[in-house]
Amino acid sequence: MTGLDNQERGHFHDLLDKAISGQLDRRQVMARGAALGLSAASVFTLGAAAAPGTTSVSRVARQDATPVAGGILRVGLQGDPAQLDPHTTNLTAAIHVTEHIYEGLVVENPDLTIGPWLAAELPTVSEDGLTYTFTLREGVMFHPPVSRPMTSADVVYSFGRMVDPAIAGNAVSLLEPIASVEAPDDRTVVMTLSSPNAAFLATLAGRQIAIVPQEFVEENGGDLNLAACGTGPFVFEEYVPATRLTVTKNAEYWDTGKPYLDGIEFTPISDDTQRTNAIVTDTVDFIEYAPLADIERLRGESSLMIAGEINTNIRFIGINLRREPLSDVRVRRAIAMALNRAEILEPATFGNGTATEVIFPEGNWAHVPVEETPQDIEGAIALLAEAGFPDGLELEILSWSAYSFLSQPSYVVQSQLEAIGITSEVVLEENATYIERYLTTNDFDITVTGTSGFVDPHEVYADNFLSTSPSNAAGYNNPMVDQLIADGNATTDQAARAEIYTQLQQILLEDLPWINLFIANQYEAMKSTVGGYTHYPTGSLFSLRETFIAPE
Amino acid sequence: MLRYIAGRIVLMIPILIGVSIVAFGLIRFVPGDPVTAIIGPGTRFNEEQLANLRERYGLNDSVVVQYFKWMGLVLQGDLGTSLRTRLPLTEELGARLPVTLELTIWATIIGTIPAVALGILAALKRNSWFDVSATIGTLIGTSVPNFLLAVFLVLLFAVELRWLPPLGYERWRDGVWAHCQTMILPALCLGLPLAATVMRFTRSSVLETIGQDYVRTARAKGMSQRSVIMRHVLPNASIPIITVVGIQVAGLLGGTVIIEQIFSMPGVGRYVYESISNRDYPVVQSVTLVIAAIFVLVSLVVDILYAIVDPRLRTG
Repeated sequence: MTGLDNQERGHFHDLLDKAISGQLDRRQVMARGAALGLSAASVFTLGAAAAPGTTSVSRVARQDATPVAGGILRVGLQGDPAQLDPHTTNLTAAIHVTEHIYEGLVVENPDLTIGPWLAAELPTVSEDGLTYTFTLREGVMFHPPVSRPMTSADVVYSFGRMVDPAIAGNAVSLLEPIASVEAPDDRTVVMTLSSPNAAFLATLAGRQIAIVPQEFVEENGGDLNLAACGTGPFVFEEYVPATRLTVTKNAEYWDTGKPYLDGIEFTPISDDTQRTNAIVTDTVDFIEYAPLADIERLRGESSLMIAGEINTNIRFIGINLRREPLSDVRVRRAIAMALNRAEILEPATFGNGTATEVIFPEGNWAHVPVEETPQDIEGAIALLAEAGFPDGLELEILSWSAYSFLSQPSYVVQSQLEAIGITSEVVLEENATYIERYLTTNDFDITVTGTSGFVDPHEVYADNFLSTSPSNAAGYNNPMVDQLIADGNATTDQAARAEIYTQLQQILLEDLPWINLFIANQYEAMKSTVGGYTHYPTGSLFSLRETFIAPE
Repeated sequence: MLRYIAGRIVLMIPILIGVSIVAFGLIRFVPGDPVTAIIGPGTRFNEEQLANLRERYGLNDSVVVQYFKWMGLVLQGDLGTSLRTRLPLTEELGARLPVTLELTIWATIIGTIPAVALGILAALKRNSWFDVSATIGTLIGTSVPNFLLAVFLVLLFAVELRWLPPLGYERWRDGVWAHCQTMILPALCLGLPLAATVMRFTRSSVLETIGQDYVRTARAKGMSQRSVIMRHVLPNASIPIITVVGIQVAGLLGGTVIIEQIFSMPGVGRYVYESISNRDYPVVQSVTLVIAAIFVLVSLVVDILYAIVDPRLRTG
């Protein structure tokens, strides 16, 4: 910091404060630092301060305080956790509750690497990549009334239940690669795959892959929607539909000393503004999905802290390649050239997002740095003319009525396309109709939509671009891409995979079956007395097990 | 009187059958498949798995068979099972209906008793400052939609003054005061617009009655103002008021959809709202039927009130 005069030093400390308290993100801090004429070295210092730990862009709230045991944390959820069966639920709100009750063999870390959980360590994998051998952690007990140690038989039973057609589980397709699950002894589980699968551990880290005790399932007639019994840090206490769900501390938890909280009380608050009001008025201590429109206001409250930043959500324009003239890559490229992403993301994120042309953001190991394509109206018009549309064309932009963070950008896209002669109508459909039109009947031209919550890049590539995937709504079919997706999953060497995914991303940028738009940040807001919480880029609240309430 | 009521109840049956057919048919006309809506876009199912699910939910039967299966259940007092939560509806409604009904009752109390009193006062003191401010108040009350009112009331009473919680619900058994606290704001949001309408109608109805010949006669006989109002004006002015209250109270059930959503109340309105977006057929059709039954019952009560107030209707 030599060479700074007093005024510069003042700016520096001011910005540093803002960076550390999370009032400004890394980009903002660095941009302001540069604008104030600070030296490159000090700007860089500021950037680093704003993004502790670098690769993972999660921000840690009050890690410094010493953990204190006790207290009930009141959490505001964005939905009603109405389906508690971890093997069948598709509700994010329910998963954000069940992840504290049930556990799986492995878990994703905040930096999206995979670590062991109920498995004592990461599994040993055979040479051919087909056999995974897990050794289970000792001293893991199921909650009452089961109250007995968890064994490999429970793992075998749970994996059987997840794919049982009778329960219509949510992991059926995810678990297709598994040929068999066996328990040679009480603490060993051997899984055999039908082909090598680099994303397999990431799949197992999913919250659906939860270990449940057989006798409890049977006592409840196979229905785990209103009863719960797992191995997690919290024990299910009571669910009052659409009102509250309470869990209490598991005194027998295997990770001795945790959790710190005596319990958690979850309240469903689906109205965004009301979630903000609830934390501001001290009705709850913590809210998930802090509304992006209210981030400024929440940052202004001295009694609150905010955790989180970039998320694993991806917002993009989906294009139906089955339809003329979108099947022509020149038309798709013209659309991409017409866009100004900074304008598109503003009404969706209120300054809390990042424009990106590639699928995986900076910091992710599968990120591919590319040069930004500037908005080029003239070029786009020329390209459209070359494709046979000198007088422009008409399109429909499909989007979701339920999500303003997708519908609002649709209107910006509409006006930007207008500039190159594409007249479009924005049609907003509510969820069930949207899903049918987009995924089932593929009845759309272009659509502003999103996907989220991935851990491994394979999930995103295979889901959306594999010619045989049912979720490949674009109807994209490129044998080379299919091959690269398969290759990327057949090796576990991350460097080799990153290379494959770089190639893959470059082909996608050429072919443009979808046009990537932006990534929205995701935040949790909490009272400043809440300590030990870490934001997960998957949106998970997994860290509540190490969260505590510190005395003022 | 009993025959009158019995006749009314018999008339309810064809109405409810009609409602059941419309509710059942309408949700099926809306595009969107319940099975894909329920499993969500994040989960991939192959055709066979989807077919299994449809079979389980009884969606492979013809629409007519589905209807009669449902009606068969309803007649046995079983409303079916939610496709999404897989919970029995009778239980679910048993927990949610009381919340919505209580909210409606509070809103009705807020919306009628003070409103009728103030309406009479405004009519009696016609053109006074009280009347003018009451008229302005009712104008605002009838034109502000209840979701906007909710925003204002929350900002004032929850965020600024911190007197009441901004949202949430506490059951009676979790504490009477806690329960009432969570009820006040939603009930006000529903009740105040009702109060405005009722007050306006009361005022004009009373004004109209005061101008009648029999009121002048009563006054000419030397009756006190109080007796004239209580014996001649109010009974005659009350019929249009009852009509308006009846229609408006039934309409409150519609208002609960938005209010329960905003205040996170575990009522029927929010439930049916969420179920429509999920194409949860059994919930939508059964809840519609139950709400229709309540609606019909409210109009029955209104009709009985007419008969009490106006003897001519009992025989007519």
